[in-house]
Amino acid sequence: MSDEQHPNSSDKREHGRSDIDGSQSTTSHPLSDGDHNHSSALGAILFELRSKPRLWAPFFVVGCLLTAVDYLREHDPLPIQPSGSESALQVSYTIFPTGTSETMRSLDAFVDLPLGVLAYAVSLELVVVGAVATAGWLTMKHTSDISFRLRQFFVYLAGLSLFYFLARLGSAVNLDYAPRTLLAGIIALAILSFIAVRLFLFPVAILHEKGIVTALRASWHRSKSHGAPLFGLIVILGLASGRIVQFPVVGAVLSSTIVGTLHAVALAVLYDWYDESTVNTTAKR
Amino acid sequence: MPSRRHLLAGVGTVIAGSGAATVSGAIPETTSSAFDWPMSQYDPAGTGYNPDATGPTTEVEPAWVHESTDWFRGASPPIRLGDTLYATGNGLLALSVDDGSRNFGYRGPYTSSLAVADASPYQTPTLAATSTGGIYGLNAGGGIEIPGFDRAIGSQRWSGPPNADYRPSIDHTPTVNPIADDGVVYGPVVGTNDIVAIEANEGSVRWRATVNDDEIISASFGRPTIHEGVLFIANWPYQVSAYDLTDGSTLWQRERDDQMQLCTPVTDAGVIVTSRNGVTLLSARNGEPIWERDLDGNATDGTAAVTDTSVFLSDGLETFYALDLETGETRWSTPFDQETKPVVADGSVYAVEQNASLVAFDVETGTEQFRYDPPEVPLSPPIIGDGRLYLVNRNRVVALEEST
Repeated sequence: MSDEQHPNSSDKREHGRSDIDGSQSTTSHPLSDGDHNHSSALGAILFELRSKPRLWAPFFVVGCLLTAVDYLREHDPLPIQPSGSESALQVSYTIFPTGTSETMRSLDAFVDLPLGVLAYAVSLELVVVGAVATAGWLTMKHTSDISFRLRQFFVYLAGLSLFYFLARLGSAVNLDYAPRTLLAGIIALAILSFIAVRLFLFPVAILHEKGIVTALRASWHRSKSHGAPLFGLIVILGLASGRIVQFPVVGAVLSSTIVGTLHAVALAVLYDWYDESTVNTTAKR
Repeated sequence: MPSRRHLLAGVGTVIAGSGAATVSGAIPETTSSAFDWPMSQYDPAGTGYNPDATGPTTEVEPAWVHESTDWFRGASPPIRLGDTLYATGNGLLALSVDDGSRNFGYRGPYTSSLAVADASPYQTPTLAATSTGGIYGLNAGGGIEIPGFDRAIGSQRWSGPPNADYRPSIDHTPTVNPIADDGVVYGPVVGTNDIVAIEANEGSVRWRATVNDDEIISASFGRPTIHEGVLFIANWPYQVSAYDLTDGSTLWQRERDDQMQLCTPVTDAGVIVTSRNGVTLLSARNGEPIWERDLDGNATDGTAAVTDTSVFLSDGLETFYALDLETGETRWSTPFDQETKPVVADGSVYAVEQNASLVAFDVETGTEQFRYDPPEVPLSPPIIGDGRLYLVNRNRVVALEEST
């Protein structure tokens, strides 16, 4: 563990890294503990996951909750949809670390319900959003060992809720895009991938920075020059999420515990790892 | 084991208790009336006969015409629920029965006629529709309109099998009209040899049955019908089948000699099955023929309308028939071009000839009462209300009444 606590990102921190300039810094890092400097970001992520078993707990709880919510959704008389497609190969990536449930309920299902039923249906969704936000916040907090302020949590919760809402707009605003040509598909995929890479660090930036714009800027700048590894991580997270959730009974638990935790830890580690100011400092040496 | 509704009612009560209206659009009047026409061919039995409805019997003129919705292109018959007329064609259009003014409308891949189904716990019924993409459950209340977008949140509750992308077709009505009974929607699954029963509130499949086990997708279905807990359906080339409504188990299946088994309107007397050459009355209990008539026709589409005493149908070539329901004997016949889907009420039978011209015949004599030729084609089969007929005519929805 770090000997120092860094309340915000304006602190100049040095990282035990060698993937940028080939040198090995000897100064400590919030995610390194003196004797454990890592030669790669992946090593740092895996080290965090190995050395802090408690990191797995929040998203395990979320997985159990999602399993219960799936059960309720499947047994109530309101419409549901599978959370993924029937395709054997799908990338189910979300910007925020979440668990993947087997079912989801679009906004269309909430219209013209009696109050009691509406309250039940909305409560299910709110419980899920709240639990996922809390799990992400706790995991990144314990990974970074930084005391994020509660206000930042609510910003994080609002951001997560917005993405959760957008994913459930249903038939009214169809965000599906089916390209008519291969070239159009490749271009669309390239644009989406670029945006996903640049926004990869946005969730953790919300917890570090003041304001949405500052967080977006931080995510954008810190992800520069790291497109390939971040894209690879997005594909791995997306593939794993969509694949694991298809396991019967325990799919949601496994998907949340493994993918949600890995995603949150990766965010916390890489946010510091890709600190541009540190890169510049290290490079000058 | 508590039912889904009981489970939900319990949880909902604990959380909030009351049952007052909440997140919703302007919930339209969807109460039923004697003039409701809740699905194509009027009822689950597919009789095309509403004894309470009255239609015009002399020359007609438009009571109103709705043609101001630019995206609307329809060919399937409308339905009526309370004071609202619903029509499909590139979307769903809900109009006032009185004057044709638009209550709501939004785009969507809906091409078939609709079927009204109870959708408890929702406060508004579900309207089932089909297209080349599958079966859809729409909100009869229209949902919450997004101004300026011809879209509404909560407009489509669910989509069902095969859950495919909508594929445009040159056929005006490329899929079979769905039917609904007691909160369940029934219809063929596009691109398969299957029929399916879907819960109207949530879109889950209650049962799915395969009429033809051949790997080659070959079944071309007629509109299914329901009578006393049994679902009947005819399919190309030779089959007529009966399924238990509760679980989809096969009660009987008959391979007919005549090609093109087209429809299965059903009454207490039995199941009327029209085919390429003629028409047959089958026993609803076991599918055995009660009587058979070879009309020397050539029908590849269309259906029959059935009253308590008569069967009305076209032979697909050049004659329209009224047959005795008990014996199959001809009561009257009159010249008529091609196939049609007739409807009956109050002494008149109405049929659209060549998808272009509406003709009314006296039920007892076959005398032509009037003919209406709209400015555009295709013209859908009509539905009958309180002295009016309602039809879809390409980009128009029309109400016809007797000329003053």
